[in-house]
Amino acid sequence: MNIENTQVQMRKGILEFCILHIISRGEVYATDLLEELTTAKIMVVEGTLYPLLTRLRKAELVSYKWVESKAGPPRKYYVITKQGSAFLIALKSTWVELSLSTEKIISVVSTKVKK
Amino acid sequence: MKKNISINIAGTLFHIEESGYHLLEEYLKSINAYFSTFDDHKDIIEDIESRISEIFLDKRSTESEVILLSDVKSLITTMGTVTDFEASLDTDNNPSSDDLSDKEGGVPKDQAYTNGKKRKLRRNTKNQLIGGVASGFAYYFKIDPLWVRLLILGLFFNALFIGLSTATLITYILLWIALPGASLIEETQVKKLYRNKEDRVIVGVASGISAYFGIDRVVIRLLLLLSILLGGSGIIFYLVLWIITPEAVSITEKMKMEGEPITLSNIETNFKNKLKVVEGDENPFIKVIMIPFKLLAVVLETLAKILGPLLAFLGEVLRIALGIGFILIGLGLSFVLLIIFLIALGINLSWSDVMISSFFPLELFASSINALTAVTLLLVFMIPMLAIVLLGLTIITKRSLLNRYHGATLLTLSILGIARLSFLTPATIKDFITENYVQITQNFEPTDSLFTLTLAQGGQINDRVHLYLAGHDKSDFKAISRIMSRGNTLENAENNAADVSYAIVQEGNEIIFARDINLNRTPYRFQEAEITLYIPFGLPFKMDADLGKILRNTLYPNGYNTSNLNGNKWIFDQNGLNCITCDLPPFDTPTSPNIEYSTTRKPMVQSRPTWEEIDLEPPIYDFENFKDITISSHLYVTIEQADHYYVALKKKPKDEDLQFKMVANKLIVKDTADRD
Repeated sequence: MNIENTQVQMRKGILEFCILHIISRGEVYATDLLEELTTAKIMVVEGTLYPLLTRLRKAELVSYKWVESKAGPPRKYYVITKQGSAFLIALKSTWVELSLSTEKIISVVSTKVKK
Repeated sequence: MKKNISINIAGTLFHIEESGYHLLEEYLKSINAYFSTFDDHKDIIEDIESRISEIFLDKRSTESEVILLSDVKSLITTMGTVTDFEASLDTDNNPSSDDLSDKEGGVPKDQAYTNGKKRKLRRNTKNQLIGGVASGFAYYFKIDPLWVRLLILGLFFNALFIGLSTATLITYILLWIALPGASLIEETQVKKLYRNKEDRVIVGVASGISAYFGIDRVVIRLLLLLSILLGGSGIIFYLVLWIITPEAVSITEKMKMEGEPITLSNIETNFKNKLKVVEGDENPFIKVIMIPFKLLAVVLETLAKILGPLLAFLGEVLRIALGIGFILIGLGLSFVLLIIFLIALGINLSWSDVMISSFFPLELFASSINALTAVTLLLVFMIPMLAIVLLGLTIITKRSLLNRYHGATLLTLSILGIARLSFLTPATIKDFITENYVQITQNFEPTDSLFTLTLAQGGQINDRVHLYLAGHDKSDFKAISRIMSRGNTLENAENNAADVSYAIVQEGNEIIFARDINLNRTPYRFQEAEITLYIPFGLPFKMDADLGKILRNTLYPNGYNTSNLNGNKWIFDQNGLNCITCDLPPFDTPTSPNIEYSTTRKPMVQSRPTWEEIDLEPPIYDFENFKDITISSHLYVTIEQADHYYVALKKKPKDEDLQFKMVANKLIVKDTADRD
């Protein structure tokens, strides 16, 4: 068992959930998405975002549209699809369950230690 | 002063420091290679590039105009390297993530990712020993290239069929030409056989095998040692594996060798371990046994250092020579094809006749196929020749001159040609569908002096003139020439035969037979001449030694062969041909009067031998009521109908005795020397 490996695994599933969530708030530019993720420290390197976005798009959970930009070339703005919304709702309930049960377990362990 | 380079990322122009440019180039290459196995990798790369452009634009507006090396470095830190991606994206080996996606009832993300991609068969230019065909196949079937290479070697060096080796070689070369090259990333999950140079005696084959199969390397080494001592097959095995397995150099490769999944954490662990490599924990006994091999390794290495440049040079020379060889072969064959093509079109090249006609049936091309077929044939055969030339050029220049479009074009033309050919062939075959003949009779008057039958000087013998000799009770020579031909109708066949001539001329006491028929510009339709020359009984004559080349079914049935021809005198009587002057008169002659040497190819009918003419009284055996006969292969046997069973043996006194016996209605005849 390896601590770094486990950490990566823990982060991974949640990462997609977070990305979907951010996109679900309204159309978003990949760079803004990145900023939010890196500030929240849920994503370490930026390069991993793009394959994830492509994967989500392949699964038809998100789609994108081109928007003209003053600063440079046109930008991809991501939007959530109908399927994506349904997917996100399912993920959300799982997350709530998970965090609740995790919290429960963690708290029990800490009380035991106190005794 | 520093040199700047202009680059264009995602449509924006940047000036970048040279050192920074090289780093960025390397970085983009590695990313490209990494994502090339992903679905929609173009999109991913595009996104990453536009992000890079954005970061650079940001930098440019706040700091200097030029992108510096430090900027590229910080970019790489933000974007992450391939190892970072591997650590967080390559989840196939991890069951927990699969479980997660199942629980969520969502799309099986990871499977969709790796299995959804359709693999294409390509040559793998990234891992090639010769042309990258084997590793291309390995990539396609998701296996270690090792197995494909072993299979190819096995097929090539198989001891059973030479044809299989040739077929393997040709298939390899064809695939080399046909498959487009691509730089393929091998499966990270496939455990691969590497040579482990860190733990080696000679070049690390044994420890590589031990890592692959998870067996202790001592066991492998002892097995290798044993096989070397017992017959030496181990040496070949070792050499083959040395050549076909790569050496594990990078940490990733070392991990693949061990079959560990490649993740960031694993790489780190390995890196840490690498720093504290422990010298092998083998027992002293093994170490002692391995000493000579370690010495061998040292010698080999020293030799390699000294001879390395020389060998490299020789290798280059060999490569170029091979390339030139291919080019020459290709050009030569193309040239020959072209000449045949011109001849087929009716263009007469007098000098080319000399070159080709000795081994190629020119007439067949000159008159039996039309121009269209000729063009088709040229198309079908010329393309492989061109491919050979291109292959030669490829070997010399070391890069593929055929891109996939050229290849596809050539392939299409080939297929068109073959299709066209398959369409034309029946039409050509139709011209050969029936057979007919014309018959010409010539008479020659005998002269007072000894008559000689000779073969004309000059010209080729094409085995389509067959001369038969027979006797008759007239006083002159009679030659019946039957010229046969094929054609699309009986009439056409007859015409094709009638236009062909065969020359038999009398000059004094000589009858001269031409060496070949004269087609007289008739289309080639398998024309043949069969001549039967009737010779008066009792008239001695001579035959030219060369006549044997066209003489058929005349000497042998009468007990002679072509070596009897030269200088001897011959005579026909009622029983057939006799040599008057031969040293040893033939004994075992199944004589038969009035043999009708039929030119219509009917089976030859022989009547019963006349015993009275044989000097010796043949021994008669009284075997009866046998229903089956088994006879040694070298005996001459005549079986015929009679009133009663009658077994007679004709033999020369010095011939070996024969054994006759009856076993359950079966008559067995064999040499006494033969074993049962």
